[in-house]
Amino acid sequence: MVVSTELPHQGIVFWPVGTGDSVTIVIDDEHVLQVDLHDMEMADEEGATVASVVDRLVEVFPEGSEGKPYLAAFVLTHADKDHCLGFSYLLEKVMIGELWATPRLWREYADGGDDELCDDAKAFQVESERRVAATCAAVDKGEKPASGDRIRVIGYDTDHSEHAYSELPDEYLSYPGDAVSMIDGKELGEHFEAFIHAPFKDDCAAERNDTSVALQITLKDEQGNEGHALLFGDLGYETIIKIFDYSEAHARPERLAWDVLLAPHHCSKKVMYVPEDGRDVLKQDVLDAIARHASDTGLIVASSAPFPATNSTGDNPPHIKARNRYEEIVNVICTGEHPDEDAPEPVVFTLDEGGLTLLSSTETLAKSAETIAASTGARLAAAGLLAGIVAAAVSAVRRGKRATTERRGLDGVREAVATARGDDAAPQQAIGFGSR
Amino acid sequence: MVTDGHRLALEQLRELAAVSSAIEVVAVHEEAELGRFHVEISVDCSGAPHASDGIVLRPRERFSLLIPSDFPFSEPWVRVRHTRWAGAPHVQWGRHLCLYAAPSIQWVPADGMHGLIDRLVLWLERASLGELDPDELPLHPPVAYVWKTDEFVVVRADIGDKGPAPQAINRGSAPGRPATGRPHGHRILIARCEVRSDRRADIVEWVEPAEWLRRFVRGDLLASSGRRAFGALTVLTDGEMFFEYPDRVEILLSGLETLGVSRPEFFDALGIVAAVNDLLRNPSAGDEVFPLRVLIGTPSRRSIGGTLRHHLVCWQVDDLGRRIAEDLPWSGSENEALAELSRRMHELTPQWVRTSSIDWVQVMEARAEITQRRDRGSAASWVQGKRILVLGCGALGAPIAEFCVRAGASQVLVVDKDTVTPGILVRQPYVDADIGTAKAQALADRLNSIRQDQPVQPLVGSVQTLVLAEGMPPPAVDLVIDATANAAVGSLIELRRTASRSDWPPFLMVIIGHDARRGVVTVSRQNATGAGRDILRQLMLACRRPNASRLSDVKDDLFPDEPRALFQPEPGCSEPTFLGSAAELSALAGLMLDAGLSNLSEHAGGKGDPMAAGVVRLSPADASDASRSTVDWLGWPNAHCVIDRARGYEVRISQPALSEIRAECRRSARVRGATVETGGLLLGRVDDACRCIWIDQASGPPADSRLSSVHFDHGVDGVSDVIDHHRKRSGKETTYLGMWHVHPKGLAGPSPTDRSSMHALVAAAVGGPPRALMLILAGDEDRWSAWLSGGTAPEMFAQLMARQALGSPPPELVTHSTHESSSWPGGWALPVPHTNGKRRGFLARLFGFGGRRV
Repeated sequence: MVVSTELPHQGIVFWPVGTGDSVTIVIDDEHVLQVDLHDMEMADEEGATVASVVDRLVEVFPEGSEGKPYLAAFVLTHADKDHCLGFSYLLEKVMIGELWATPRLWREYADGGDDELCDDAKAFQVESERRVAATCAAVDKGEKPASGDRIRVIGYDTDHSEHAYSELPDEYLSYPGDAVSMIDGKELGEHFEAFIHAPFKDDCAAERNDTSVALQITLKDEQGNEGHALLFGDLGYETIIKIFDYSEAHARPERLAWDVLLAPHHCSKKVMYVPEDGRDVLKQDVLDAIARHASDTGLIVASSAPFPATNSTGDNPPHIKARNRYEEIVNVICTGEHPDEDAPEPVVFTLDEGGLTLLSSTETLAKSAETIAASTGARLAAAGLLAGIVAAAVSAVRRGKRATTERRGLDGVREAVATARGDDAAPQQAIGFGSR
Repeated sequence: MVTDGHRLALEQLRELAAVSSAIEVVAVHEEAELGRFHVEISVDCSGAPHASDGIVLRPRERFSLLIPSDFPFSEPWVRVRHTRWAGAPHVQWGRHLCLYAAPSIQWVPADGMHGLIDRLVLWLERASLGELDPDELPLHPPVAYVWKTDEFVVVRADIGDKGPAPQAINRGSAPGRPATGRPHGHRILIARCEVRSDRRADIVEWVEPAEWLRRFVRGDLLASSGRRAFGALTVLTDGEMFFEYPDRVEILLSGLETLGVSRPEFFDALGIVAAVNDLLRNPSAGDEVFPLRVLIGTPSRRSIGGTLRHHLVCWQVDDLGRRIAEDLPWSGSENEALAELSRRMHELTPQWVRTSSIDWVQVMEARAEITQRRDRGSAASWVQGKRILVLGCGALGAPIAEFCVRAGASQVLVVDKDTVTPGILVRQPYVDADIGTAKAQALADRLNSIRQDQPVQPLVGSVQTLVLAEGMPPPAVDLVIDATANAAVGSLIELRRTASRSDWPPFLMVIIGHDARRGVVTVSRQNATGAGRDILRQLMLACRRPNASRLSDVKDDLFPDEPRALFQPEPGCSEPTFLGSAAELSALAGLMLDAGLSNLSEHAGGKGDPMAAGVVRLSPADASDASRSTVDWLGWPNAHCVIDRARGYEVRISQPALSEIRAECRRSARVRGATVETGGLLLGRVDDACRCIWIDQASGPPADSRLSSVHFDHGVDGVSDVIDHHRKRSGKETTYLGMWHVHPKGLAGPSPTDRSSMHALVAAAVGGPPRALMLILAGDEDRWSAWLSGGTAPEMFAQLMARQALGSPPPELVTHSTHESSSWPGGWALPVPHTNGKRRGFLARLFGFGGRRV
């Protein structure tokens, strides 16, 4: 395999997949961790601006056993459609070394709540149960499970004992407070670590969103560079503040550090606003906590469709109010708006001296990758896994209609003042008056 | 409690938020913050231009608006939650944004939140560019928060070049930033602080430490000025440490270290100051302990005249620190106990530094080098540094003297003979306790309390004896202002000034009309021929001229045809006065002084004229003419002066009169021949008080005059009419004065004929005027011709002939018989020469003049 040393090797890609999560973490040229999936091709949404994530990944993943493209692990934070859409397709096309699952699905199945689950969530559950069985079988034989059969169950549940996964040996179970660097049976600690913040045991029976896996992803390289990303799934205020409080109380602030924060729940206001007496009350503490652990170059990614100018009560995320609060901390990048709405490109962070740094021109990296691939006559991956993924992602962009955006910045404020003063305002229409 | 003002503020903010998402109301707090209604807003700051020394704006910024209950009548405070901008200019307490340098003029209640947000946007843009503190704009100096509000320091002495030249400020966000590369310099001085009160000490001098010690040893530091004095350590640096001064000693000393002031050096000097202060105190006299203060001078943010001056803050060292410092200098003492104590104090010092906080004392600047005078550029600034003599301390003189003191006159002499009586308190600036005190003294006492240098000297007594007595030299001042409204004083000044005009300073006289709605200020520049009396007279004549309708109110008010009934405020023989309020009089006094000084500084209307009169009015001259300027100026050229040979009176020939004489001479030379004498009437007035003769008008020879090269016989046709005309028009001010004639290309002196004619004219026997002026104009050929063609005036001879002075009977009348063969008639008709022997009337014979000496 020809790899250009010019191109970055490690990084994180946030795909423009509308309001949903698809995060690809490139640990090294062999190993990729996919957190959630929202394949727009599967969604078949009108106006979708990106083609199938899975198809693109397949083009560049290294070849695994059975001749299939190889994905080291897939993490499902929780089983909502906007996090797992396209999983069965992925499973069909790709050899997934290891699955990371939460006890929550077992609970929902046990509760008979599977009617609410989408097909891909069900497929994930079926695959999880297969792997639990396969793992137990291997363990029974005194062996390790093979790649493709592996599973890691993350978090507690009060009803552990009722489910098959409770039979798994401890090494296949992880809990909040654990740091994981072993993936698909390989120790990747030189380049990678995932610290598990959630789900908490207390939340096991809460809303599904509140049972999301919360991770701090750390990428490292040989030069000693280190970068951190916080992925909090669809968690809301209560759980997130608990995460910060808990780790601060346990004096492990380094586990909260971030260069990139994926705005929880597609930039939902539920992170910092809590309804009280019918009004949204701002929770400054969580914002302060987020700000406290940001690196100097920190950025927040909202994985969502473009923001509307305003939200009405009851609107689903993304919420402009939440974005405004985040922007009081750092810049916010919306996957649906980056670099602009008509042609969103993946938001790519690469590891360098500044930690995880936003790649200023994804197109440049994509072009480099294509050039290298063409010159070697090899697949895109020849340029390196990360570059290949970016190149594949950029080529997947569909051009759409450009939306007009409201004027922003201090000039906007000044205009607002002028408008509110009514300085230049004159009636725009004739108005009739009369007694009859 | 939420007030209407709070609701209005919130409503305005929500309106703004509804217009644009660039501004958002994030939270409305139920709990007050710092006693104010607390609203948080979020502002879109994305894309704001940024420079490296500006503050860093995030895409959005949150602001706490702390809204006062009386909004919009006072401005909200704006704070931020974070301290990211601490240290930037105009961020105080780390979080408070200083949006308004002067809320009283910059905060617009009607604009409310709109104005505030506008201002905030401007602040943010400038802050982001690092332009909040442009070099030349007077914004806030570095802030030392004043903790001790009960004491303060007034800085009077200029630092000048006693400190190191401040280095240009190298702005950044962090304190302790280095300046321009060259190493920092500093200077340690000791400020001499005079105790003014329990709360106040004035810095009157900056002294070198060595000199301070020498003076102490000599005993010179003890209260020489009658005021107790102590020293304050002064560290002048050439660089900046902080925008906000710290409240911890440790931080301050570290900051000083970055500018090269080491702690040993600092404490050595502090010890000397503290120990000397302690020794200066006289405990047995009950002297309180002197405070130990440290003044720190850093480059100011504003250059003055291109020079950066020092900005001073004052730290009052706490009691423990003072006691430690007092013992520091004795470590080398031969007294072992003292030396030991001192060593222990040296050991204690670092701990004290670590644990002590700083009390900042309010510094009030009065240094001339940094204080911009608030009257800069005004007319009143003319008096700055000048000596002023104010005659009269009444309703005009007292305010005028005060204005001069405030305007910075170096010396103000005030003269008045009267004492303060109860009635004058209605409008003169005296107080009840002054009753019975001499006005000049009471005024001087009060005005001397305005300024530390006490520039006012009272002269109690009459102006006539104290200033204008016979034989006194001209006042040694730069300006004399007559505010006595006393005709006798006016005349006396006219008289005294005439004698030594060139030694007199400029002169102003102020008078007001009968109801205090109008005033006149006269301006006589140095060497002007007339003073107040003269100028008022000319103003009066000007008012009475035809087409002088713009001055008709002045005439009615100040120069009425019939004398006004006098107003006598107290029963009996009190001095009559006028009606008018303190408000009117102060206004008029201010207007007149301002007008007079403007004129002197050539600011305005009367520019250039040696003499001018400015009329000021509190109401327009007439309702239809409200647009007229505040001051109506009239100006006059100097008169031509000749000394009367009889009594030494000064004859002041007005320019119109002289022009008239010349016109006649030209005409005569043209039509009658260059050698023919001519002459005519003189009209004006003799003022025996001023010893002055004003010639206002002159006329040519009447038609029945006879003129030849040896003789001029003044006729009588129309003479009475001319005199009547002028008498009537001038209110009897301009009347028959005498005769002029010329000796073309001859001598400026009377011939025997001239003499005998004048004798005859004023002789009692003939019933003519009791005295008359004879004016003869003459000159050699060149001078005469030059004058006729517009050059300087010819030689003149003037003599006021008076009946009493004649003594012996008149000599023989020399009559027309001496005319040569023919003569010319006067008047304007085409001249036909007279032949001798024509019969002429009595008057005509009397008015015969002849140029030929017999």
